[in-house]
Amino acid sequence: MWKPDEEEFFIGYAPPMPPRLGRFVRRVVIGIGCFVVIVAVTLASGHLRLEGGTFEFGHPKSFSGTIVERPYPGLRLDGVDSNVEPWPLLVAPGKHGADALVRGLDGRHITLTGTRIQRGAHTMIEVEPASLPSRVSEAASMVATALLEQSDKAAVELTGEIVDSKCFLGVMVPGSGKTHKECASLCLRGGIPPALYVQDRAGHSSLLLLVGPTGEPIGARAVQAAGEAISLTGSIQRRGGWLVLRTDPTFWRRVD
Amino acid sequence: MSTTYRAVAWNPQKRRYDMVAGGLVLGFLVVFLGVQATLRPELTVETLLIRALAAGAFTLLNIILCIGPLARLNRRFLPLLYNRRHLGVMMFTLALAHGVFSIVQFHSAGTLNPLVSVLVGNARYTTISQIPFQPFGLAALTILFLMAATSHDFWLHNLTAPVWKTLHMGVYVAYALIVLHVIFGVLQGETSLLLAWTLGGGVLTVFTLHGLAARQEARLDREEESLRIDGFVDVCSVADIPEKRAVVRCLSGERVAVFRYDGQVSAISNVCQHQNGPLGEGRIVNGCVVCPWHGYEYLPDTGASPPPFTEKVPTFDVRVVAGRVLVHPQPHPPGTRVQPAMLDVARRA
Repeated sequence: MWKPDEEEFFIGYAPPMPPRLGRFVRRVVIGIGCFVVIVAVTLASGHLRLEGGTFEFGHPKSFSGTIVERPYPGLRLDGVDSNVEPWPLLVAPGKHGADALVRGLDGRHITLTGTRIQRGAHTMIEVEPASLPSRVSEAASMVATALLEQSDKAAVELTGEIVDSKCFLGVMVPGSGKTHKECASLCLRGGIPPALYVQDRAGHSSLLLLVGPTGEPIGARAVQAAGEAISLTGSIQRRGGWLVLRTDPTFWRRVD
Repeated sequence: MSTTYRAVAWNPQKRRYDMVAGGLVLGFLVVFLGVQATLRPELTVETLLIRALAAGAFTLLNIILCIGPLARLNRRFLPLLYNRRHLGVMMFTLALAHGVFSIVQFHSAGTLNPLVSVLVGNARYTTISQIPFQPFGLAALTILFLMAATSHDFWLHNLTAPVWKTLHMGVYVAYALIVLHVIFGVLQGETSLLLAWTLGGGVLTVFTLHGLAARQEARLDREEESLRIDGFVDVCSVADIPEKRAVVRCLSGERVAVFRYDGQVSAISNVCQHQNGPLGEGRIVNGCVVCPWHGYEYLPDTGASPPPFTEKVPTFDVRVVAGRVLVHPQPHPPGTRVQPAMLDVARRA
């Protein structure tokens, strides 16, 4: 066992440090340095791999197409078959939806500037508000809305996580899970389209946009369930290349 | 003959300490960021920074909490204790940066005030799997802020040592809150065994070292059951006390440091007025008892710091009879001069 050195006594403001004590402290500091490196490597590699998309922040582009206002703002890109590539959803900067930006523009052909967010086949555009034309009040066309109603409905019961589509598609990594819960809640509160992320046992996953029983937006009703696992029933349609789930939040069940 | 006293401010030892500590913190952040950016290229820069700062702050907090008990168990660790407060401020800075980045990333640019979002964004306190972790972190950060803001000796003197010490014991509350923050946050979010084991190892190490130090301290607190003569307690023989050093005994619930120096014996409280350092583990240098923690000085016969300093500790009556040292357990008010017990020439030799 170590015995104190009767001759050496450390006084911080009276250098130099006694020699034997100095050697000991140097060894301790080297040990702490090694410990720090080991802990840094351990913690850095201990985090699990996360899935995420890309957010081309700082690289805005121009996009031309027809505005779709309901249920959530989207842009039917010129020359793109939505059966091959789902049309991009539109959102505003920050944790805000684009409803206010596109109000009254349904069916209008426009060119806008925005930043692409992409995960797999799904795309979203964070619109630069100044790039949108002035609002029109009576220009609404039923063309785009009519295009929404394309496929048969299929009744399903699903369990998955309620996510905000903007973060999930790539603005945040992680864009789902518990550490992202409050952010998802804020995004849904701000009008970002809500979605259900489901995975089967084989690891296949899907993202479904959520709307109410009559096809209405339900972001505000999904706020309390953001970031949580939910079991729900509804009917699935394909709209603009997206799977859209009609469901009534009143009957959602939390899976804790 | 005259002498002057100058307040200790920044000194070479502190500078060296800060440079080494800063280098280690920087090294940690660089290694963490490098490894994680390589292994997890999908992460955004913001997420990398949030994680690196959190990991750095928590690792540093664990090291800080280990220094105290290590120095109790082995005095050679005392140089690490000397400037520990600067480590605390560094740790708070990392934690604050982590908090600010997290709030900007996850709670700003929305329809709620970011701080309101932190507090009410998730109210599922009754479900273990959904308990919000942010309020634990915010509460810990508040405590750490109070500690960092009052870390200077200016506050120690103005708040008085007992209040200051109590406030700074809040680090253990902050530590518990941070552990909960981690458990209900990243550990529930990722269920990574490696992170869980690392957290558990850190907590276990801190608890074990504190337990060992507490057991050692408990031995010192055993009440002296020796012979009493006229109210004086026989604490040891003169030969048990090395020259210019002390033995520590617990008398009437208080630790008393009994010093032998220059043919005399004096007894003062073992508790330094600065940060409750163990004066009995110090030694007498240039006629003053020097605290082993931060070098505060007291005259052994009066228990008072030499002018212009004003710290004072209680003193005790001492007698030496037939080679035995007797101490009266009733303390005198701090700073009261007590005549040292004189050793005879034969004993001194």
